[in-house]
Amino acid sequence: MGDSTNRSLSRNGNTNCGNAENSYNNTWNNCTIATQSDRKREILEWLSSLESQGNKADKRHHDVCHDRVDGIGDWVLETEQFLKWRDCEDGSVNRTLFCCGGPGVGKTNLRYG
Amino acid sequence: MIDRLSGGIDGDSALVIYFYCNFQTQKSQVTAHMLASLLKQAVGGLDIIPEEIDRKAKQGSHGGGLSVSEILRLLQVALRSYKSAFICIDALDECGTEQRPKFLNSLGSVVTDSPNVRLFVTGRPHIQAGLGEHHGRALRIIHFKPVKGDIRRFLEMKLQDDELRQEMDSELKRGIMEEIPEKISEMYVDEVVLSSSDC
Repeated sequence: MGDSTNRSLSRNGNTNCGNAENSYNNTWNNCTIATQSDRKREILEWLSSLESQGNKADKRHHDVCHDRVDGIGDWVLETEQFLKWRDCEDGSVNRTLFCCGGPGVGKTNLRYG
Repeated sequence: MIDRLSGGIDGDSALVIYFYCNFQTQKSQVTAHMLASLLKQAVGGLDIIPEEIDRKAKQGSHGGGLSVSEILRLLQVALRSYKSAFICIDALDECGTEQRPKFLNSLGSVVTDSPNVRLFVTGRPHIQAGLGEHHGRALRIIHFKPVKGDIRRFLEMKLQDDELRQEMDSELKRGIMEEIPEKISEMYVDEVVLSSSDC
């Protein structure tokens, strides 16, 4: 590695300069990314404090995924209503889709795919 | 559904955010908390945090919460960064009756103001009127019913997990797998209406 660096330096004096600049840019970019990432984490922590502590969406989602049976309710996701709602991008579709049904019929466990 | 919608439209990744209403924790589900949960998920998917959200966070970290309208505004700002976004609300009927109109109104504002956002709601039929009030002509309805194939899959899973399954004889298993799907489907026969007339 040392030899290769020396050869590079002897061929072109600017290479070192370029490397230094690249290195500076990389460091700067890494710092910027790290700072953005830290800031995002702080903001997410703040938002987490505004959520309902007794009903975290991610925990509930995890429980639902664990308990569901694949394939239940697939027919809903193949209906014209669902596909139009999901795929239409020109604003002509009804943007709110209400899947209604009695208790325990499997609405919560719908799985697309 | 939530897991796979994020596969998106035309292969592009789409944001999917969600909230599960729950009767048992109804008291802690106020509109501001539910919207904050959606906002957190929307912000979580962003590479660059919009300045307005960053500024509010700085103010917020010095104490004091946000009003419903402030959270709603930030949610709309965050959602603008996505090509498409789906909001999924499960069991809206389990959201407290005092909170439901405000929550529905807020979601209605998001959908109206953001053409890239679509809303999926599940719930029992009696909340349809409330949804219609806030979402009006933007509302489309699918009546969910248990079909025999779904019931059989569910029963198979339950039988597999039953610790007494070794003690069941084949006649009992056959009875469970054949008679229950028939009887349950009959219970819901009046609801089997795919609602083109409602749309």
